[in-house]
Amino acid sequence: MVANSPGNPQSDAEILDRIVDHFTNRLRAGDHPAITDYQKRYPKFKDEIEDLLASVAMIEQLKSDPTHSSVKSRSLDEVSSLDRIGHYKINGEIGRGGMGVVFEAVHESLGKRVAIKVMPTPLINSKNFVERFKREAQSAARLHHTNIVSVFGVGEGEGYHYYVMDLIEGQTLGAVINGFNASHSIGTKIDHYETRLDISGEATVARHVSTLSENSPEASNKKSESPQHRPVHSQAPASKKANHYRWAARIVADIADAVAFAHDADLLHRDIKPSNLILDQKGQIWITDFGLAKDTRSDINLTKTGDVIGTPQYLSPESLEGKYDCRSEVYCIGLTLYELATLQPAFNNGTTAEVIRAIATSSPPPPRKISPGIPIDLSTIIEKSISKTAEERYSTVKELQRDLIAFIEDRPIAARPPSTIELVSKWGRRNPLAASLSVVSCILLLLVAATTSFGYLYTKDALEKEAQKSAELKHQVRETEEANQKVQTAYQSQLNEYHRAERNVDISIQAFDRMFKQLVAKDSANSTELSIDGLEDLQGIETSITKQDAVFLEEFLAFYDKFATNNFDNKSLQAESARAFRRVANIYQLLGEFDRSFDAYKKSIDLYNKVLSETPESKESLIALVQTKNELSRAYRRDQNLEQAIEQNQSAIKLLKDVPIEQLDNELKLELAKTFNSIGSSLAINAVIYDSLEESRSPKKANSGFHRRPDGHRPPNWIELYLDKNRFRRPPQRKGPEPGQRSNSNRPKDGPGFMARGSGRPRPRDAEANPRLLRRSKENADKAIKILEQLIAQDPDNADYRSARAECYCCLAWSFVEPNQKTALEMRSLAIEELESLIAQAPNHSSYRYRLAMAYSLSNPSDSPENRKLMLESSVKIANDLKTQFPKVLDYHYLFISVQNTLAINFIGAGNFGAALSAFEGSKVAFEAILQLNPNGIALRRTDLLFGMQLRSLVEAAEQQSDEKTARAAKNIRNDLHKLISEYRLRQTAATQ
Amino acid sequence: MVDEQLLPTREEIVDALQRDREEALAEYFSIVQSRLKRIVNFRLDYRLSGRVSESDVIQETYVRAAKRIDSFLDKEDMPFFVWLRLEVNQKLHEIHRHHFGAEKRDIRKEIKLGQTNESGRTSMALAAHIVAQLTSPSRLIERAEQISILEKTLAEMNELDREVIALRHFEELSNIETAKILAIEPSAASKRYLRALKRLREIMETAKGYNGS
Repeated sequence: MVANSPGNPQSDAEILDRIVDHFTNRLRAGDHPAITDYQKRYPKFKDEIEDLLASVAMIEQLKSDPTHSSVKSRSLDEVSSLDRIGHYKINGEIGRGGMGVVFEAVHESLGKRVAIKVMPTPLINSKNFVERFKREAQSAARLHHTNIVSVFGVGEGEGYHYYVMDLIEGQTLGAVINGFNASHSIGTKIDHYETRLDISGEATVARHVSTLSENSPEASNKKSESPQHRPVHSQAPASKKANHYRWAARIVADIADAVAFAHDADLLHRDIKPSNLILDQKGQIWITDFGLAKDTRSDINLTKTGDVIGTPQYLSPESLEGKYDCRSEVYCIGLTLYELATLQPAFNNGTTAEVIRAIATSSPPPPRKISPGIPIDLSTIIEKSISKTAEERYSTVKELQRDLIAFIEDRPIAARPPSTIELVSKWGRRNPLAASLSVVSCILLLLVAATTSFGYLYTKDALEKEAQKSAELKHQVRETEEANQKVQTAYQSQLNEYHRAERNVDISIQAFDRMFKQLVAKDSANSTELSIDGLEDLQGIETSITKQDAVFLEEFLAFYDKFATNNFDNKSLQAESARAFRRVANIYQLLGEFDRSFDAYKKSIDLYNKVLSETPESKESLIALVQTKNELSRAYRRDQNLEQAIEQNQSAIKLLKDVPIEQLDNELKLELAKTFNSIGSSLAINAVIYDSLEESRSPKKANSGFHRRPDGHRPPNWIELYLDKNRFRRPPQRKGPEPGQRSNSNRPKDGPGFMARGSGRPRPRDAEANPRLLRRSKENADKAIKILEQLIAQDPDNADYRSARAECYCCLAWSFVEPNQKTALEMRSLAIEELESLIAQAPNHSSYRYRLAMAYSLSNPSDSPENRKLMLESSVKIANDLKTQFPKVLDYHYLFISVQNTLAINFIGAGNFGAALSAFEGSKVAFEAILQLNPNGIALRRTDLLFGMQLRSLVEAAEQQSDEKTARAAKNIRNDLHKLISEYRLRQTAATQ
Repeated sequence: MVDEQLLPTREEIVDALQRDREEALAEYFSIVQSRLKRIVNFRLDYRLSGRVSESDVIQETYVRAAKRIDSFLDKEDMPFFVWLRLEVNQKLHEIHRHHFGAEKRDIRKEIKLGQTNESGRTSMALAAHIVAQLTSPSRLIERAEQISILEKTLAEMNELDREVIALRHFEELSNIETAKILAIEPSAASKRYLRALKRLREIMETAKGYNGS
């Protein structure tokens, strides 16, 4: 079996490797080697063989391409060429699906016309398989329903399995939807079906029938009358649209009725989608393929066709986890209704992998966003049906069907539009794998608040409709009473839950913890491994977290807050609460929602202070408090409130000042060093702003040591990135202008954005200000480095220490540039070297890469133009990689725009306007991405700052060279940006209305 | 490994190449073409499917290899197949860089399993690969659980172990080739491989325990 040359002793590992290799090769050749054979042959390695070969079998099976597998499938074309099978003569192909080819055929002796579905999989001699095949066909044959295509036979012939079914003449629903889309006229076609269905009950509809019938004279008259380019919408007036939705509801109600009927017979369809639904010429809907062999849990599978790429568009999220029940069919029916109502699939086509990811992680746009005319009730029904988790859907297809009938008959439906409860659960649902337990326990907390108001609304709504329909009054009253009673019962039980939840608040906190992690890391592979308290931890995670998520998190926190206030004695609760607020604050910061983040940080700090006042010895809380203050400082800095930023850092230092540095433990030392460096960086930024103010020739200057942002106009959070480049590009004033460096005109001259006046008194020109601040900046960074060097001496490989030190180098590269360019250069090299070595060790650590991009973008007056260009290009490249890799992280998009624009400025300096323009174009695209990610975010308010001055400098430079073409192009980019923004504003307003 | 047996020894290949470069390369290249295709299939970013075909990559690799035959002849202990695989990988890297703008500095590095889609996440690459192979949704459902176990295991492994699994099972290389590519001793490669398989088994067992099946 496995070659084992005698006289050549092998190590155990070698033998095992060869066994594994042998086994693998046999698997790949299509054999089914038995593990036990190997065990018998090598009893010594019995257990190892079991372990190793089982793993190999799994991997090989997983990756095996069905076309290579032992069960070879014949191509559909081959099937297609059949002209007879069994006793049937094939007349033609009707269609193809993932499961086979469907033919129209005639029974040779009986003359009965039928549809035959032939499986491309050739006969399999497995007894099990054939038995199951027959069993399933039999159970399908037992289903007699007016909307189910009957299967009345199953057979084998010409080497294939086939089913014989009733022949339904019509179109698949998929084709019907395509038809709607192709004609762009909902009105005309629907009428065609609707009149036959007679659901609108109005005689007027009948006259539209002819519009579809080509042969009717009326229709041809119409054709000649109407101009060719008649506007699309005029063909579908509101009433027709309304009819369309009723028609769609009716069709889907019929489908649901049939599926519910099958469910009663314990039969799942497993593949409900528009292409399996046929609308016949009378307008009746038929479900095909019922009960056909789709068992997914078997060794040999009929669906293993190898030829047809089935679309996963209609898979329910839970089926990705291998779960499937009748609620999955609610989902599929819901998707069909979605598509019928909006005329587009809920999950658009993409590659298989993309669609699957979308199904698992995102919700389709609400139907009313696509077609605002969809009645709210219908859209509610759709959304409930296609909820991500099965628990939130109708629990049976019958319930869905009842609601659809209620909608058609204008009665109140049982489903409600999403209330707080649903929104909260939606929030949890984004992570389909979320342990339902944690979600449930958290929702319980919110239910208390929501139930009361819901009960009121529900009753009110029901009563209003009641008044309109006196005929149904009695019935309605009873329903309302029942509903009230239900609400009461629910309320009572929620109240109980509330009390229980209060007792079990610790459990809820754990649940919050889990939800938070899952939410934040929902796209990340190993979410549970993450420690995500701190801001830095969050930054590297690709997360599609939205502002809504954060708001919900905060809503939860309100509960903890309350519990924490009422339970002063429960210290662990307060600490947990503080921690939770900190996490939320960090999310807000990442989203650029600074005001919200300030509040949350302050709540967290208050709580930590409380905890520490009671238990001053709690080191954990102390560290957390210092970190939280520093995070708040960072948020302030990004919001350009440098004064507050430094103040927070200083108050963090104060917390530690009573303890001699030597006695602090390493974690606190690191935090202290970071704090010093944070002050240093803020001071350096401030020095630069000061500098700009000096030269802006603006009479108004900021007062005090710090530049304050004027109220109502906030500078951008990337300003720290942006400012330094402009500054360092500029030759020192005293040396006078240098050729080739003309581009310093990018410096703000006319006081836009953050240059606007401060709130205080005008400050006299203070030539000392800038060097003084830079000196202080340097002092702080030095302090930080000193601490870090000590730490690194103890633990030279610690990446946290080293990356913190690299950040200090960056700060020094900055604060040294004016007094000592050479030292600044050295510092920059140190920073780059350190970061590159860190990246080499941890290539996927995005925050190192982020910092490296920053370091590369730090320029020095003594850089040669080529060198400078190279460095900026490296910086842009890193930024571009980051934003490509983490398309949802706003910071990376900002970083990209910032460095890309700096590169553009550099091009302007070199006189290469074309390159500058295309760099700005690139930034514009990135800006659009930001708008899409966070349409309400700071980007809108801050475009001017992001692009304004830089673009203006291009315009200026171009105009100086009388290059009007470039000037115009630059202005166009600017206009595009403004247009983008106003479009987004409009869309936002439209969406909220 | 059938292909590998057909490939003559290095000496013979070198001989033939020195006699007639073009013809010899074409001949030997065609012998290993299907193996190279498998590698491309595995390493090519799934986002490029539709834009870049496997055959394109193979063809471009051939052109590249033809220009660089000297680099094979110069490295005396370099097996022919391992060299071609290197060329494939560099071609792939160029393509990825062209489409996704990856950094030039990485060119010397082996394209790691996790980096094939530039996302740094092995599991995504692997899942995408497996998913792309599947031809029907129900197959996917059937395998979802196992894919997630495999993902989890791979995510836990260190990079080298992960790479060993990728090379041996997704590129279907031999232990010797794997060792050569990773520049480690064959015995070390073998040990890592066996260890990784055992770990996978452990996790599979635990997962079964949870599901009660």
